[in-house]
Amino acid sequence: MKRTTVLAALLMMIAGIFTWHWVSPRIHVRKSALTGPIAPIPPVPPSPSSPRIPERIPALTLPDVNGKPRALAEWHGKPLLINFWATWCEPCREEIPLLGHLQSEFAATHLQVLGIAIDFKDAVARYTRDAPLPYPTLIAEEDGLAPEAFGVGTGLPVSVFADSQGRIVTVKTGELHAKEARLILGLIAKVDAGNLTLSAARTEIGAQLRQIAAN
Amino acid sequence: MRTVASLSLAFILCTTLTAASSGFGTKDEFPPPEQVFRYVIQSDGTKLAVLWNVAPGYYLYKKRLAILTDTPGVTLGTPHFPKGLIQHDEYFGDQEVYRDDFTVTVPVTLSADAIQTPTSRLHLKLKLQGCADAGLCYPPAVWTTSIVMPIIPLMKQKQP
Repeated sequence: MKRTTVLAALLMMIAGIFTWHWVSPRIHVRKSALTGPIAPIPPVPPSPSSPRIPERIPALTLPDVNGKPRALAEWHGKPLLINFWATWCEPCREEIPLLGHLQSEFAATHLQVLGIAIDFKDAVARYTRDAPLPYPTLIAEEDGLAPEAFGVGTGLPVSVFADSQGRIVTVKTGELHAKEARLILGLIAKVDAGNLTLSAARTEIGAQLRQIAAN
Repeated sequence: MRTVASLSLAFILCTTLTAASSGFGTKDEFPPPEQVFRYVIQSDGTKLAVLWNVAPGYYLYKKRLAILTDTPGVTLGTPHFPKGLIQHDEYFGDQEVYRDDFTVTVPVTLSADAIQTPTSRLHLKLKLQGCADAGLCYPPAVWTTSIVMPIIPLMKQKQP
């Protein structure tokens, strides 16, 4: 009887860990602190199921601002910082100088910053003509396929960090700050140099990002 | 029993540690837009009132707000927007935004045929786009909904 109970508890534990791994990217939803006089629950549009962040950079080909198709595989072998942005997104535009600076600062690690605009081609072309981006940007229009392939979808900006093997190390939703970016890129450099495992880098990044957010 | 309790505690600790070591950063730190931009639609039969409630720390752009219908025989007039707050955007200039609670009213005109129709369900599309002060913008969205228009005012509207 006791053995059966222990076995059942062990199975529960394994199932729990398994479930956590599959759903964890979706359950960090902060409860909204709604106030105000609106009592009835409004009609809520059906929200599409949140896609899962893949382990690796997906095989995507998107046009650049000149309409030339560019495959993400073109940058394989380099650590990547892929930034989803849009011209209508103020925090996205605000982080562009930082992204350009990071591209230079981490040049020794062969970092490649890459923009993916969730925006119309004309709007991106107009914006980049007025304020050229210091790194390549591809255009995914507003069809949502590219964010879906990366498992991101709540809003913009989103920064996806991958090591030189194309393994996604972490994803930052919302405006990226210099301290966060330097921490992540520094640890990715250690992974690429063979001085840190991917798992250890993720653990360290998760812990330090929470610490930064708490301060 | 004690063993079960210990294992349960181990399970909680394991999941907590696994959560702590999750490598996917802050993916879902922000709630979906329907949780932060909430609305109720009311109608007296001659106009619609969209009562918006924006969660603290979030805002909606006035120029991205719209209400449309494709219900036959129903025409929506020019919406009346309350005065919003001015927020400066380096690229787009001064932008009018809404926070907290605000109401947008829209006149409704019905064709003669629509007044005769027994059904009074109005299908609506709400266009919106908003952001969070914490540095995130939700993509432009179109939400669909429908409401039942009050019958009595419709009958009154028919009378000269």
